[in-house]
Amino acid sequence: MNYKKIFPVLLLLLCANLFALQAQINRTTQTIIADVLAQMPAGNQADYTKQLGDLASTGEEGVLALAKMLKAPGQGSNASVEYALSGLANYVSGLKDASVKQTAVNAFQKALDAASAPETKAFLQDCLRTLGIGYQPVASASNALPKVNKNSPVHLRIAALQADILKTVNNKEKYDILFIGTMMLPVEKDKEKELTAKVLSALKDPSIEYRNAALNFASPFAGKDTYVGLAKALRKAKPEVKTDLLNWFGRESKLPAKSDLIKNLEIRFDLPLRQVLYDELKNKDPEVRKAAAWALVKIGDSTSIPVLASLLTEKDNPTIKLGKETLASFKGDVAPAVARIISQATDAGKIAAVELLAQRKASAHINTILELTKSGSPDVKKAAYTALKDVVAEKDFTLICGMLETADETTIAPLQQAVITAVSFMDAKEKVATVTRRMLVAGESKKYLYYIVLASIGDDSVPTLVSGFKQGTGAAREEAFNALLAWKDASVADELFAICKDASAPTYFDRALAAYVKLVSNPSITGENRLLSLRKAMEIARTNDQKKAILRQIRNAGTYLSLLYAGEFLDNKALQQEAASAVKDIALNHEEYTGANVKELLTKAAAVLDNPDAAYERQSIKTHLDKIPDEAGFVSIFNGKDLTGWKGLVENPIIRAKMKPDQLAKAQIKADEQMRKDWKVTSDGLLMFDGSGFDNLCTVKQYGDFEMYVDWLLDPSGKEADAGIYLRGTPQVQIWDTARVKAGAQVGSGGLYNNQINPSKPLKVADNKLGEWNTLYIKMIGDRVTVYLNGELVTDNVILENYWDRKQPIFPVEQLELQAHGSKVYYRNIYVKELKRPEPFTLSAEEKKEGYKILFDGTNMFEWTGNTADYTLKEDGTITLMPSHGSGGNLYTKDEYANFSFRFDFLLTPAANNGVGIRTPLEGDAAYVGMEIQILDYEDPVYANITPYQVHGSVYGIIPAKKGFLKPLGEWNTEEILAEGDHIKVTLNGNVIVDGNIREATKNGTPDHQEHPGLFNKTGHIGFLGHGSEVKFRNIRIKVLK
Amino acid sequence: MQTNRRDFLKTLGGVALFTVVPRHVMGKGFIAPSDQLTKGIIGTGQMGRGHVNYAGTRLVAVCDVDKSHLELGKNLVTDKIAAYHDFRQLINDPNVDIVHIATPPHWHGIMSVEAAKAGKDIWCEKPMTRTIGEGKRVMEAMKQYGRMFRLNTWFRFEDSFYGMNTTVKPIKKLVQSGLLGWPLKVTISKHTGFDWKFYWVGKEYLEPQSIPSELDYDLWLGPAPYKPYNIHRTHQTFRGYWDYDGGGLGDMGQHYIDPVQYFLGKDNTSPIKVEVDAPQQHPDAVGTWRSITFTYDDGCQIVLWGGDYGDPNTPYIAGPNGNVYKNFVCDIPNWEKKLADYPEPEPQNADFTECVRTRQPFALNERNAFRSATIVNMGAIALRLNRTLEFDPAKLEFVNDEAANRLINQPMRSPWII
Repeated sequence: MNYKKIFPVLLLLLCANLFALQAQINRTTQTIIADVLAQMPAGNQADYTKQLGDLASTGEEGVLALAKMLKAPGQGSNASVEYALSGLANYVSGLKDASVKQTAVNAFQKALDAASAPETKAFLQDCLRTLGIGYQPVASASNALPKVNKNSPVHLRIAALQADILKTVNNKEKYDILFIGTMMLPVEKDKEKELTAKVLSALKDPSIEYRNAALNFASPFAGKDTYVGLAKALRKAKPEVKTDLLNWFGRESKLPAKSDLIKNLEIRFDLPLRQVLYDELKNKDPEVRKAAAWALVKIGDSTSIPVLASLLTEKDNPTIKLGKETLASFKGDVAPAVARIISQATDAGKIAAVELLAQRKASAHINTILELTKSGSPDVKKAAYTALKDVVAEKDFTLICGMLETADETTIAPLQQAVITAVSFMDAKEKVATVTRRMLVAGESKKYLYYIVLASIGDDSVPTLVSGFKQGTGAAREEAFNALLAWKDASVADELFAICKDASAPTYFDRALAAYVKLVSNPSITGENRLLSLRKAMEIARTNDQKKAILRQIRNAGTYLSLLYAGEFLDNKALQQEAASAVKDIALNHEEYTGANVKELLTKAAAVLDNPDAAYERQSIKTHLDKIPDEAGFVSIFNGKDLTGWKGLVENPIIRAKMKPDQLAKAQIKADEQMRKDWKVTSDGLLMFDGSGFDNLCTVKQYGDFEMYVDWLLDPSGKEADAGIYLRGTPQVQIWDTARVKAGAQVGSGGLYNNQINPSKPLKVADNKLGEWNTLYIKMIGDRVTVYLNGELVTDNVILENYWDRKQPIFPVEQLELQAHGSKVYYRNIYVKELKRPEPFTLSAEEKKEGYKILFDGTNMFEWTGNTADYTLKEDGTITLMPSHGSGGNLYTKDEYANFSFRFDFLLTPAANNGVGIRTPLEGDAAYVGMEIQILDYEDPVYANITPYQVHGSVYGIIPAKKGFLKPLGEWNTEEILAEGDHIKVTLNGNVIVDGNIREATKNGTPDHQEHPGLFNKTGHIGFLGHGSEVKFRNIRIKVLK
Repeated sequence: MQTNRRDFLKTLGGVALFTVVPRHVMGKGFIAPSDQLTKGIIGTGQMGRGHVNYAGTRLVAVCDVDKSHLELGKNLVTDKIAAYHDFRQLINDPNVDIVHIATPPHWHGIMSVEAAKAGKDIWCEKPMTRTIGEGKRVMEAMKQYGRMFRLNTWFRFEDSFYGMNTTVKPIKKLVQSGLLGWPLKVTISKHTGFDWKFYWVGKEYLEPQSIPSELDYDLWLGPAPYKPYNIHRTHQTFRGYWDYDGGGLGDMGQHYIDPVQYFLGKDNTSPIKVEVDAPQQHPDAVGTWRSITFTYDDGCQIVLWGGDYGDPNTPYIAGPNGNVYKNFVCDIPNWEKKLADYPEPEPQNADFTECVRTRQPFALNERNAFRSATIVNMGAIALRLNRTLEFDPAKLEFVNDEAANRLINQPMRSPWII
């Protein structure tokens, strides 16, 4: 499709309303219902509005027809009809147009009258209720006072009191606000007096429930007089009543409508409410003191801060604690008041004060804290040192460093923390330099004190710490180690692993391993790499607790190989619970992990699970197992013991195919002998190439479409480390040492190295360090290859070219090979999952005889050029244009054709638009620089107004096609385009829809009044012309005519 | 005349002590069984049975409409306890102080109101109620009868907070300080560490099945519309049906949203708008959704993203001056230092038995829990109607949308009323 054609479509979309109307006139109610049902449930609001708008336009007829389709329970699913009808009721209920609503109501009522099954009736009644018919809310009896529970004397009395209060304030009409609102219900002055009197009398009641119910109920009506009255009563009340009242005053002051009133409340002209509360801070009853202090916090008047601070100078610990907690929650600057009372406080009070200053990061009071570091009390001293990290500023760096370098053992750690804070405020570029300078000042014997500071900065100081660990002794070595443990990111993981393996440092093993496991389990690392590192940890772990911790992280890694690896521990009594939950969680979170080994591991996991939830876990495993399709899935093709299933390499696939069977058999015996020399299985179950030649290891089995996993490790000892995976006997997914810049290896492994036309380099470098394991995942569909290296996409659906004969496509089936390239390499975890694919298309005997040639048989796109990325080969053996890949683009035959019969199948999606360009150059708009045979789902309403020479099959703009022979959407169409000189004939599903002569058709000018300069081209390419719609093609063949 | 057990204790005061073994004889720290608050659990499925472990109270009664669940409930403790089929019997049992409601949500409203009428305090599972109207009625009942209510989610006070890996307290402090600016947008999604549990979806078609003999299906349905029995409607999978709950949103909504409401300081109000982006919902079976966005009158937003939807790099809290990401990572340099002048959030009353004794509201009570349940229910209504709705937080009704307002107070099957 070209840009000129876009215009009418755009216009159609812009005038959607007009054309929708047009479309509806053209479509019968039955068609609309069928269309709507096919698209229920709507995937998004735009579709929803469109579909239900269409349905609404059918009026009564649509509703009645749909309602008739409702089956009684047990007769099958009503889902799409239920979506349509309930959707219609919901949709119409939101429209402003009353007449549409009324039509729907009438229709649903008629449908209800006609319905017989009670469940059908109930469903239609629901739809009617949505539209407001027959709706009777049962909830919310909020206009009446409660019926009381006569069995409960307190509740009888509460209800009576509430009725009494309501009678007093006569505000029943605002009942809702009373219960849900947070606002006031102001009452008249004299009524408020009555209310106050009632609450006061309620407060004399011995029942705490009664008192509090009365206070809560009175809240919305309470105004200034009530508060004054209750505050006066508070002064004289019993302790338990004081507590109720103080808590209540606190809650009231948090109500936005009340807060100012309470904050400024005066009981008398010289007695503010807060003074009453201050007095209660001295009450003998701790509950009263507590309630008073918290009420002050809630009221939040900053003049209360010094009063609360004075609590810190009390002798008893609960009061000091109360002071500390209330000040911590007090809004405003509490530090000056706290600093002021420190000298009068006991040790406990001093500690609380120091902790408060730390909490508020009170740098202005650092001197107060420094003073206390000299305290005679060890506890005070400790608290002061601990607080330093919270109150230091950048300017204090030198001072704190001085203290650190002369510190005793007990104060080193807090002073280091203080240095870390001071450094954190510095300019990022200055941090390491400043600390390094200070280390020089401190000298050899003290520089280790700053290792932990370096760790807090990160950056490039790992080598300093590593050499500090290796060369240091005693405290210095310990500090370097702790600094490595404190390091922020995974860059020290290898160092920690080295420490684990260092036999001369056994005391560090447990801590180093725990830190290593934590670092390599970071979710920012791919699951594949997490598993590789965790396997290393597992291999050196010593205790069951360590192994359990590793298995828990393997569960989080979540990859297929993680599942299999965890499964290896199901038989280990000590570890099987962790292993089982890893297997369960990974499998249940990844429905794509199918196959016999997954099923087997899940079944085993279900059997060993033993925890309080095990019954439920077993149930969910069972549900999951039932969902797993019955297929082999990934199958291990290397048994870890010998070379069963493998053979030596004989020549290449093309030569092999030409060899006679006995000749090949002989060569195979020789190749197998060589294989046994070169390829070994190590004692720990790895597959190793240890030869010097280039004799690949080959699978006995041949593979078509497949997915595969393989772990590989290049031995760093040799020169020019190199390997690869041959796919269908063809080189190769590249594996090499990225340091080999001369060979171009800096691009990384995982590319299709021998490609010349299609991409050969990986998308990114995802290799692990030389000498470490790597995980490859390869997927091959037809001639397309996708590769993930260590969890990163490096080759994205790229065509693999045939290295052995570039004039032919990749072999449809062939063996897999592990490449030998003269350098030592190890493999493990080799799993292959064979993917089902349709049989390749073959010509009928008749077509073969006639001389047809296949251009696409479902296995490769070798005959094609142009946008081979958007037109992709899919598992179903089709060329599919994927609209998500962009606007589309064109796909052309590599060869040119003049006169021909071109046959193909195609499958449309709703409103799909494409076209077959013929006799066209590779550049330009084929409809004009060549000729276009239209492909279009012209029955879609958006195309209601197109011209006859735009419908499917027409020679675009030149010769119209007959309508009415497209198969319904979802079914494949077959088509033949015959081009013989000026004669063009198009046959769709056996019906000739175009049979014309382009010269005759244009003798009076082109029917579309456009220039078609390429119309009479003698020859050119054949192409599919995309316009962003998903369209599928298959079984493409051509016969060249003389 | 029957009397409430605790009234009885209080009335007799010290005398009661002499009728049981004096406390000092039992040793320090021992609470005589007769002094301890008691509880009864309605609904002894998996969730309800877990309630036996909530400390501070002694289990004296259980209730379930499924005989096999009731049997499991009876065996929760070694003592012989009362076992009821009908919740009204448990509610009126004078030995029960606190009623734990662990039924599917379509029962929460009625049971809470009935328990309040009977003078019980209430510990109710989330979501508080499945309609806004029932929630309102529960709120009224608590005030009318002077009862204490606690919603069973912990994230507002003590539990570490899913994707944030901290309790809500430091988040509250940061948000309260205003350092992030205002208004804030909070995104609750897989990318910020939350899972909307889309496996709680219903089936659009259920083959009618015969009702198991151990289940009283009529009483299980209670106020819900009658629909033919199928096992998938009940027990562990009921969340997939609008009649009883609201899928993953119903299950996790209040867990995830309530702490957000708390740290945004929205306990006394509700959003004024809800927008949805979702596939059309089936009238019976709950489906999935892509996003639900709630907007408050000051511009603050709570955004829910279902499944994998949305930008993976999105912050949990986004403000004009800074963001908070998963695992409580704030991108404002030295933010902790900048919070120096800001107070710690006030401690909350997080011990329900203490609240029952002192009659001070629990931290997550019927009033603020009603507001967070209302957010969940607004989302469910917007999903079911598949359109943007506006809401009046004071009147508690939708603006200019009668159909939405009809979902505020949904009909109940006779004879049930609230």
